[in-house]
Amino acid sequence: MKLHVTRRGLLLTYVTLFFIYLEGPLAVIVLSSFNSGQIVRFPPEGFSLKWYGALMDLVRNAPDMKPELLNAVYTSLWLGVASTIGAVIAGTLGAYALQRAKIPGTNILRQLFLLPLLFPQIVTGIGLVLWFSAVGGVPTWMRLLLGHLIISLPCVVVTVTASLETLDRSLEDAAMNLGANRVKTFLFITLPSIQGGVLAGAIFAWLTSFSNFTVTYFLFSGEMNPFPLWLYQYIEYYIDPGAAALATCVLLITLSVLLMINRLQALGRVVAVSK
Amino acid sequence: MKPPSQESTQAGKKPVLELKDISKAFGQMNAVERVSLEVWPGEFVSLLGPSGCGKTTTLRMIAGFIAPTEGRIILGGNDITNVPAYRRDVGLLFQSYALFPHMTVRGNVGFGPKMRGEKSGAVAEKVRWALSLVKLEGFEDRRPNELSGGQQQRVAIARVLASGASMLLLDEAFSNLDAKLRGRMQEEVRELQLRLGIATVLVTHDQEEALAMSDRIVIMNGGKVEQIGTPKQVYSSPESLFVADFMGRCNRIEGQLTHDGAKGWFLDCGPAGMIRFEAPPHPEARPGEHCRVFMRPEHLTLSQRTGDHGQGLRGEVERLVYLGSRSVAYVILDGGIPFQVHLPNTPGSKDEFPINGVVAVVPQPGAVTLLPD
Ligand SMILES: Nc1ncnc2c1ncn2[C@@H]1O[C@H](COP(=O)(O)OP(=O)(O)OP(=O)(O)O)[C@@H](O)[C@H]1O
Ligand SMILES: [Mg+2]
Repeated sequence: MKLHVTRRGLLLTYVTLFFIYLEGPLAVIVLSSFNSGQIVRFPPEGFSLKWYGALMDLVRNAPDMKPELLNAVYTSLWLGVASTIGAVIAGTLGAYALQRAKIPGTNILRQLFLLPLLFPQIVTGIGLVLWFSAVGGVPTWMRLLLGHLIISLPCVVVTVTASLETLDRSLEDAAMNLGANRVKTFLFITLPSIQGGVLAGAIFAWLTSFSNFTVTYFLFSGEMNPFPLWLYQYIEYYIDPGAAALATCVLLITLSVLLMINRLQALGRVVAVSK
Repeated sequence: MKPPSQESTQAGKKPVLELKDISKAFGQMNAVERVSLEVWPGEFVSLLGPSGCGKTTTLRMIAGFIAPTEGRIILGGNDITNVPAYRRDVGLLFQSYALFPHMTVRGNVGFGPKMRGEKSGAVAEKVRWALSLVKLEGFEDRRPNELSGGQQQRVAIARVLASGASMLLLDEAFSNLDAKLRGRMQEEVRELQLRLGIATVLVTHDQEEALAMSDRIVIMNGGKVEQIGTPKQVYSSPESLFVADFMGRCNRIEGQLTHDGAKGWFLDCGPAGMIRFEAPPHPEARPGEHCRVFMRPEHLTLSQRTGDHGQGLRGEVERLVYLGSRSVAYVILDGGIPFQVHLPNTPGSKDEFPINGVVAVVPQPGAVTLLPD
């Protein structure tokens, strides 16, 4: 019994330390956004909400600020959604093809698929810039979309491949035996069985796109200025706790997206069962 | 290969399934070699053999998941060798059941008719019909993980039946069930199969299952067919050593044939003694010939009278194992050959054979079968 308690205590301590380390940087930002002093610092020198107020004022009063912020959020949103849709479709099919192809070298191909995830993004960014300028005439929205697709595709490939590995192949055989051709088997049996992996991939893809700075930095233009870049430019000008307040708001948005997806997933399960 | 015994009764009928010399090689390895088989309407055929002998590969070729490297597959008179799996109407029952976990029982059973383009009314009708056959009415809205193993198997059977398959393929279909449930499902499936008159091929490595369920048994070994015959034929008239051994425990012994005018034919097995034959062991038998024979344990009796010439083989009881309906006596014959003898346990039977006691192993009439070379 005693042993049991101490083991439990150890486990709890470990998990706590783990989380403090992982979430620490975020906590620092959130805490310093409530600072009552004049500069960003940690630990904060007292509690106040004044930087949130200042942020509101700034957005409201600075003539260029409001449209620029809205534009940045809007750009990031459509970019995230579009590249996620593209990544989910292409990534799922790609992972499926890679897993089922009876050709030698699929292992190497799979590693190549993951390269953009492991490679310094700055290299991807430079490569894209060089390529786009060589081709010429590619509009900014397409540059951004193609760039974000490259970095969000591997997210989907990774999660869908993992799901496919655990998929019971005899389910697909059974479907074919019952008269479903390959397309129907994929739609009615394979896809529902790997939907967890697809959804997880979609979330990762969206978050990757929404928060990406490095690749985006090489591709953006004045009128299409995704949110992370706008945030960076803001901090360059105003190094005050307002930036921390802004970052906290972003954090809240991201968290609520995650929560929403979580709820949707639970909802989906309820709907599926009640059907 | 002997012609199947039913051939006379099948006159005028056409086989449901014909395998014509099908082979499958995986790289250098011949998993299946020149297997030929005809399955007649309503017939239950088992593919029986040890692990790795090519049973599953044969079944998957029939189902269309593996293309044979050679040979033809004919279903209902049509060559289906190159027809994709989803256009063959052979229903495959998987060992793992392979029920779709994201669908209800209704969804699972209705999947086949739905995929074959039937209207929703017809699909519902098929589902009702198939579930009533397996006695699972009222389970339509359950999910596979809310069913017991036996119920899952019934759903799998219903799913195959609802798809309108012209024949059934069962791959080790009962090996996931515990012994008692297995026996019941075997009976139920056989009963259903007879009632629907649907031709069925079962793959199994369990000879009792094959004996209990089949009209005919195909014994396979190393990718080849060893023998095809009724359960009785393969059990009591094996055409090869392999079949004799695989179909059940067989006690083997060899010796010299002798003929003693009035008393008839004997096999002189050296130190263990002699076995008397009722009739000449084979038509061209001649004295002095070397012969190998086998006897099933249940065709032997034990006796404490050991003196008589030709009254069985002398040995010592090494061990007795009580198995309820019978006991098994492990006897070491003089000369060192181990024999097993089944002793039925009747209400009156008492333990009359002490350990290390000297006994005679006496074959019942017709028990001694000549082993093929
Ligand atoms: N896809 C494959 N690639 C290579 N070899 C294979 C493949 N499938 C089966 N084999 C080999 O072919 C032989 C026959 O396999 P099969 O699965 O038909 O045996 P089985 O009789 O069903 O055995 P078990 O009773 O163990 O299921 C085995 O030696 C197996 O290793
Ligand atoms: Mg097998």
